[in-house]
Amino acid sequence: MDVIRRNNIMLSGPGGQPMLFAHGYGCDQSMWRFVAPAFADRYKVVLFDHVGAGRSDLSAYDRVRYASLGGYAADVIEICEALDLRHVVMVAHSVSAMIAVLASIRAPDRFAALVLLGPSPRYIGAEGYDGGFKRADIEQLLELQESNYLGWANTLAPLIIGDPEQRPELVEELRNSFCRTDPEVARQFAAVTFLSDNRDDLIHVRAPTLIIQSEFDSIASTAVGRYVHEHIPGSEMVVLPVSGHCPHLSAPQETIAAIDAFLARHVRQIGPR
Amino acid sequence: MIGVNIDLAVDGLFEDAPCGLVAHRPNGSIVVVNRTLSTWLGRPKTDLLGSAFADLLTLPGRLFYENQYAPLLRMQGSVQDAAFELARPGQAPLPVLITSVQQLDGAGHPRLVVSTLFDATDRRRYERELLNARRRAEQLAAVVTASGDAIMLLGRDGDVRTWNAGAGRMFGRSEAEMLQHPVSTILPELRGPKWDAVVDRLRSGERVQVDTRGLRGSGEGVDVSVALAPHMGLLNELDAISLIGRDVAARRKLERLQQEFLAMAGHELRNPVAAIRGHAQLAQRRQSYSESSVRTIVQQTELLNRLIEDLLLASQIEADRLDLRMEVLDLVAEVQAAVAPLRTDGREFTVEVAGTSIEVTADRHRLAQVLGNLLTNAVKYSGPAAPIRVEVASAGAMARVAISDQGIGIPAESIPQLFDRFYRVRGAAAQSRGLGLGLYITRRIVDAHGGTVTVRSEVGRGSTFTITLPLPVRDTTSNLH
Repeated sequence: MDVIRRNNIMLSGPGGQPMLFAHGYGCDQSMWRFVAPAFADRYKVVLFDHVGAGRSDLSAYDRVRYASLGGYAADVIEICEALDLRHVVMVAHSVSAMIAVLASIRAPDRFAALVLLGPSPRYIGAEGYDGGFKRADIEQLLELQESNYLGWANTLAPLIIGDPEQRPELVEELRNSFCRTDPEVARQFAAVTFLSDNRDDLIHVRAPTLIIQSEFDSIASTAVGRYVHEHIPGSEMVVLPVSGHCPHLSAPQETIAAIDAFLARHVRQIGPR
Repeated sequence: MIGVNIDLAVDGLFEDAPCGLVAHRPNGSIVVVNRTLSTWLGRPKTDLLGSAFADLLTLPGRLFYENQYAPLLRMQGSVQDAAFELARPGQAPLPVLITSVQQLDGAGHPRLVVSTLFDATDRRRYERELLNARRRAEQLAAVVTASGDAIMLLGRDGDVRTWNAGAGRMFGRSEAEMLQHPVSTILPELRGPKWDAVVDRLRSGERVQVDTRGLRGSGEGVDVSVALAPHMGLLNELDAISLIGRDVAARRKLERLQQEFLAMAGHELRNPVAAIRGHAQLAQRRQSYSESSVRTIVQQTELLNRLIEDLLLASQIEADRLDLRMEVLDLVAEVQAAVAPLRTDGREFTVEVAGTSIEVTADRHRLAQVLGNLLTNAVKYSGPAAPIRVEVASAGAMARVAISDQGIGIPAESIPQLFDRFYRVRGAAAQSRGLGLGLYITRRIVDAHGGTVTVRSEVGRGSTFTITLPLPVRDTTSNLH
């Protein structure tokens, strides 16, 4: 299996300590365009697309493997192995934060630190836990998402009819394809993202961890971020005075500064090999 | 321009445009909003100014906005026609299509986002119907694909237009081979005048049922029952024909077996009844009874009872209502108990045991029935002096009982059906007394215990029936202390 092609891996920087950026649900590696370049002078910057998103290899999509976040975590570990990445600083947004948590638990020796932007271990509320959403909200999200793909695709009958033979090329051509995520994949990824419960995994994280929380985030609230902070042993949390779920887009400079400050304190720099 | 105040016109264009207009800062706070949107939302402008753009949306919409819309807008500068719903206090959400453009300042940083919102109520309804239709079509397609029946759509001329997997299995031909080809390729009788007659009936709106012989790709025949139904066009003309074909060979075989079974069961049940009646009438006539008559009556009643019990048990098994009362038993003791009543002078009946006892978890009554069936068969199908050997052992996770006779044996071609319901080995009728249910019941009881039953046999040399039963799972944790 060609992991490089499967996950559309892009490398930059001088080498040395790797910094692996993982995008969240609904997008691809281009999400990091305002943040990743700031580290390319000191780190080996590794960008990738989750399978099904961006320019990943759609033929590698497997409904069973990706029916849980574990499948994505396995991909992250395979990426580390394929590139022989060690002492990885993993910067992960949204759902990828939990993917990073799972990967770091499974392969603790690979990861030097985790930086989690807008993490949520569970979106749906539960006994004594306010995730911010109800199950019905998530079902409506799936419907809305489908409407959107359908709406944009409405001149493309084969997509509506669902001719699987023609799908990938068509998606490529859609004007607003939301980072070219395949509609069927997006549907399953959304379900996996918003219906997972990783609260019990947090306590097993051993890597130094920074949580970057946007002050007004309607997806992963500050309370949820604090929950993650309280349950990952020894973790740190920075609340940025910005709004929205994507501080790396809305406040890239503040995000970069927070990551830098954290790494300076916790991660011994490893020079280029 | 005459009679038009441009300022007023521009104001009207903005405030009462046939769409919502709104501008917000990169941090989300609304700086301008028009009257149309304020009316749609049922909220005064003063209330809207300064609030967050994403908060105009329903909660699921906000999820979508934050995860997909806002990032995309930030990265590519504009997004067109995204579907959302506006949250309206005290009213149903309003479906809208939102288009946004991001304006940058001199340094290239986002300064303002301007958006149009169009009412998409009708469009959303059509889309939902389209989606539902697609889902139903997918579900239906899954049913058709999974069906064991051959399901196809034919044109008026009998040309195959769709072909499911069931048809592929039934006729041994691929979709590519069959599409556009006449259905008479696989159903040779459906051609010429016979096909015309079928089409005539379909034209009048009738459904047609035909039992016919199909032709597989390999040249073999297959008995099929074919149901044809017309699809009428706009002018009530015959537009297409749906065809569902069912392989009837299995059903016919079962029907035949059931008929044979009923005849045989009647015969088998009548024999003991006749014997009982004969002896009873004799006693009545003589006004006295002999010890031997009464013994015969009791024996025959017991036989009758066994036959009826087998029938009931078989019907229970068929209905999946076989209840087992599991307990831990010593298999060796159970085998000895089953062998004892069958021992006769003149026959060597050996029981070989590896070890003193072998514990199994089983239903005592049903296990006795299984052993009884197999041992009785061994006795029944071998000469009065032919030795019978029983081996009891445990191997791995299973206990094993093997019963070997040196009797007439079973022809190789009969072995696959040996454990089927109603099956009796041809030519074995002379020795057999029973309903042909014994081995069927045996297999089903052993299956229900999680075991297996197998047979090795050679005509003229004898048979070995082997059953295995799972040994109880040892609780290994308790041994660690």
